[in-house]
Amino acid sequence: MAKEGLRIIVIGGGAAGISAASTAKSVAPDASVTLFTEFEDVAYSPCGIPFVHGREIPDFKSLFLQTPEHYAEIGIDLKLQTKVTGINIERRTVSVGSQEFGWDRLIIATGFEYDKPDIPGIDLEGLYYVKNIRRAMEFDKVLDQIKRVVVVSATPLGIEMAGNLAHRGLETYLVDEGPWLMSKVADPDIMEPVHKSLEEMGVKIHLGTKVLAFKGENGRVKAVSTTGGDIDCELVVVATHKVPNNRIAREAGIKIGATGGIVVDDHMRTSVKDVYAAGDCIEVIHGVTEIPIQGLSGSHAYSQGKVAGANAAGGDRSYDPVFVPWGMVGGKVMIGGVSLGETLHKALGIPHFVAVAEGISRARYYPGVSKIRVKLIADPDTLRVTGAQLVGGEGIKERADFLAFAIKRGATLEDFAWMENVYSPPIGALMEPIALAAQAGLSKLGKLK
Amino acid sequence: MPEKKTFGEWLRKNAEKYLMEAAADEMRKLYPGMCAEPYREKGFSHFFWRKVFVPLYLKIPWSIRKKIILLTSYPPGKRPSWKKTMHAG
Repeated sequence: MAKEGLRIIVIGGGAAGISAASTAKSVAPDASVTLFTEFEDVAYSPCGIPFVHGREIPDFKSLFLQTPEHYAEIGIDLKLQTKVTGINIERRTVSVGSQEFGWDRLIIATGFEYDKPDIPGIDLEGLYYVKNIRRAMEFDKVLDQIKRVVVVSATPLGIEMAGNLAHRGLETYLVDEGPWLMSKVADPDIMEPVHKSLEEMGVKIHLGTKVLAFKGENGRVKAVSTTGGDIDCELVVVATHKVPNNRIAREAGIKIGATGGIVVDDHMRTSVKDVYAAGDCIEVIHGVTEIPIQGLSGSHAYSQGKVAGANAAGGDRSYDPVFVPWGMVGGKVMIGGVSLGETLHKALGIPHFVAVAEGISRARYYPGVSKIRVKLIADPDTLRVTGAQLVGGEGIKERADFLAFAIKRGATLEDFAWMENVYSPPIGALMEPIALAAQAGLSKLGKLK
Repeated sequence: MPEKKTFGEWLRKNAEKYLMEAAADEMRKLYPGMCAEPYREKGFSHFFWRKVFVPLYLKIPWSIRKKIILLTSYPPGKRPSWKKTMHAG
């Protein structure tokens, strides 16, 4: 139950912060809700930025979902370009420089920052971090004046940026220390078609290559020095790992977990009473391993923000452990997955069994049909599926969502092997690729009866 | 000023890095045509994590290892409350 005159402060204007503020206001219309963001804008899709650079989307305007005026109309006090510099738990205030603002409930949604490599030249001009839409607009103009760009790290964002910059016609280099693209997320057999597709688009991929320094001239980047030699360039996109932006939470004494994210429970409550947190700055529980993890998608941040906002306003909502369905386009190929892939099962040492098959996305004779490779990873004793990865020309996102839903409910290889599926030549083949993978797995185990 | 990290954060960051390296080496054997030679740092601390920590870690059964990970993730009695899933041991 919300108390009268409740003051809720939200720090951060990304997906988690804006959904927390909106939900808090709808659950407790009489509460005062104030949102602080250090940036100029709120309520846009940063995930769309690479596709504007790639000219798949015509302009940045399309990425905005709401205007600041909308939030004023629904009673949220937006404080743009206002950086919160500290949290005082005892006095229940946040500070902005020398000014203090009081709260009864606080929601921290401070997001992420890039793990900046500690190498020479990191402060040169011409190093770009994809995050803020205003900086993206400036960067986009620079792209019209240059020819060569290096993308550092084959993370999901690095892959998207490399593909989009090549699509725009730039000579694009992608540099990563790992043995295959996105090696911390996806398996090599899933990434192989993406690698080929990016190369076909003209991206020059340097795997097993460490960036040693950024070299400059007159304060501006001119080359990237790597273990494989120097690569001349006019711009660098730094797409390194994202880390939680938790400096003020840590300084305030709020408990930080082993991942570097704020520890929360299933109500998004932190270790401090009446302080909630959501989004990229927190860690949540993985549904298969029960281990805390950090750094998920915008849809996770949005849902967590809703839970934090509702509970801060007096509600009682909970957030389930995550199974992390994911999907994206790499080059011209779709990839996706759920939970852990084969590599992560091996890294954690979880006993597992791999079931793989290739199917097709539509009837074999229908124009536009493409291959889909499905890999299911299962517990060898119970046959309960604990992860999946997919690659293909279409229909990946829907399968990842479905698999996450089914895996959460404990589905086994047996369940998937004999699942019902849609058959309609333009949209689905007679034999569902997920079922084919499960059948192949059972057959390998001698359990296909 | 860099943020002061906890022991748990240091342990997890290093454990993740070297366990992923070991897993990548195994995957390279399974999918040889699809992987490049990865970059590997050299030195005593790397040697310790690769040759001592990883083999020891992988010898412990998963059910016990999971308990150790959770113990190093939270102080005793401070594990936050989350719903149990069907996969929880």
